[in-house]
Amino acid sequence: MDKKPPDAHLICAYLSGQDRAFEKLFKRYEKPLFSFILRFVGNRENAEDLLQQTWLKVLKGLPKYEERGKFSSWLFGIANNCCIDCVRKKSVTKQDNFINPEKLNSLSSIDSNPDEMFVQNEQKVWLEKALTQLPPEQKQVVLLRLYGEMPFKEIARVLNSPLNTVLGRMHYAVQNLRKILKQQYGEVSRDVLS
Amino acid sequence: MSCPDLKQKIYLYLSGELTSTEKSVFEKHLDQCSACKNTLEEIKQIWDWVEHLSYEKPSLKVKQEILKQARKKKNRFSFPNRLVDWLSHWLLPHPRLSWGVTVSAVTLILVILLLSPFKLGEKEKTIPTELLEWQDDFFAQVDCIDREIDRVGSGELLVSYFSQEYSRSESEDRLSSMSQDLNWIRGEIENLTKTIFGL
Repeated sequence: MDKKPPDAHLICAYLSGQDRAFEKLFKRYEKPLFSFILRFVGNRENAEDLLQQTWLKVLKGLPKYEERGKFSSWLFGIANNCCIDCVRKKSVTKQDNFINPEKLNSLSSIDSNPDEMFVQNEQKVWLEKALTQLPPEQKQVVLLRLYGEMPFKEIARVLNSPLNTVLGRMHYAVQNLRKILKQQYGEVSRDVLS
Repeated sequence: MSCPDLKQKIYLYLSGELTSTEKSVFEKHLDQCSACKNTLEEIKQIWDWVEHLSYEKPSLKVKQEILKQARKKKNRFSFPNRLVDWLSHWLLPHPRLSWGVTVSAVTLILVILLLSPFKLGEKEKTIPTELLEWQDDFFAQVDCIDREIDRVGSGELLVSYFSQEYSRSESEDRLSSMSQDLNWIRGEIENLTKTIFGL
C-alpha cells in the first residue's frame, strides 16, 4: 500500500527543486482549500482569485516555514486571512451563484410535506445556502472545522482566539443555521432528520 | 458536570477532543439529564449535515497558473537569489541599517574573492603564507558581521525603525522573521569560511 509522504517531505523536496512535489502538495489540498474559500466568499470568481493569492503567499513563505505546527493549519490560516480581508474590503454581491439555480427552483415550497423535503441533495443545497448567510467570524470556525479538519483547539490557535470564544462562535453558527433552515422549511421534524 | 459545563463541552465531545475521563463524565451527565440530551441531539443534526457538505474543485486554468508560479518560484530558492531578495525586502527601506550590513558584507565578499585563488578546490590543510596575512582581517570582518547580526537580531536597531511604521505586534513578527533570515545568512557565511580555509 502506498504511504503518502508527509507534507514536510514534499516541502523539502520542492525546495530542493522537485516540481512534482509541489504538485502533489497542491493536489492534496486542492478540493478542501478551494471549498473552504468558496463557501466563505460565496462567489466562484472571487474564490479562484483568493485561491491564487493564498498559494502565492504560501510559496513566498515556504523557505522560512518551520515545522512548528501542521502545514495544513498554516495553509488554511493564510486562506482564512485572505478571505477575511476580501469580505472586509468589498461586499460580495453574487453570493450564491455557485449553487445551481435549477436545484433551488426544483425544491418544493414550504407548504409541502417536510418529510419529502429532506432528501439528501436538497438538504445539502439549503445548508450550503444557509452557510453563506452566517457572519464571517462564525463561518470561519465552521469551515475550518469542516474543510481544514482542525480540532477546535487548533482553530483557536490559528485564529489567535481563546478556545471558549471559538466554541461560542461555533455554537452561535449552529443555532443560526438551524434558524435559517427552519425559516426555509418551517418546523423541522426531528423524526425525519434522524 | 453541570448543564452549563456540558454546553461548553458539546463541540469538543462531537469532535473527539475530550479526554477519556472528560468523555465519561460528559456521557454520565447525558444519561441523567434529558434537557442536555435533547440539546445534544439538536446540535448533532446540524453537525452531521455540515460534516457531509460537498467539495468543489477550482478550474483547470487557475490550477495551471498556480503550478506555473510554483515552478518560477522554485528558481528563486538558490542562495544568491535569496540573499538578493532578503536585502531588497528588509534593508532597502532602512538606509542607515543597510549601509552597516552591506558594507560589512561587501568587504567580506571582496576578501573571499581575493583569497579564493589560493584555497578553493585545494585538498591540503596547510594555509599559504599570503592567506595567513589576510586571515586575521578576514576573521575580524566575520566577527564584525556576527556582531551586527546579533545587534540586529536582538532588536536594538529594528524596534526603533519598525515602530515608526508598524504596530507593536507587526514589528515583533517582522523582527522574528528577519532574525531567522540573518541566522540563515550567518550559517551560509560559516560554510563559506569552512570552504575557504578548510576548517
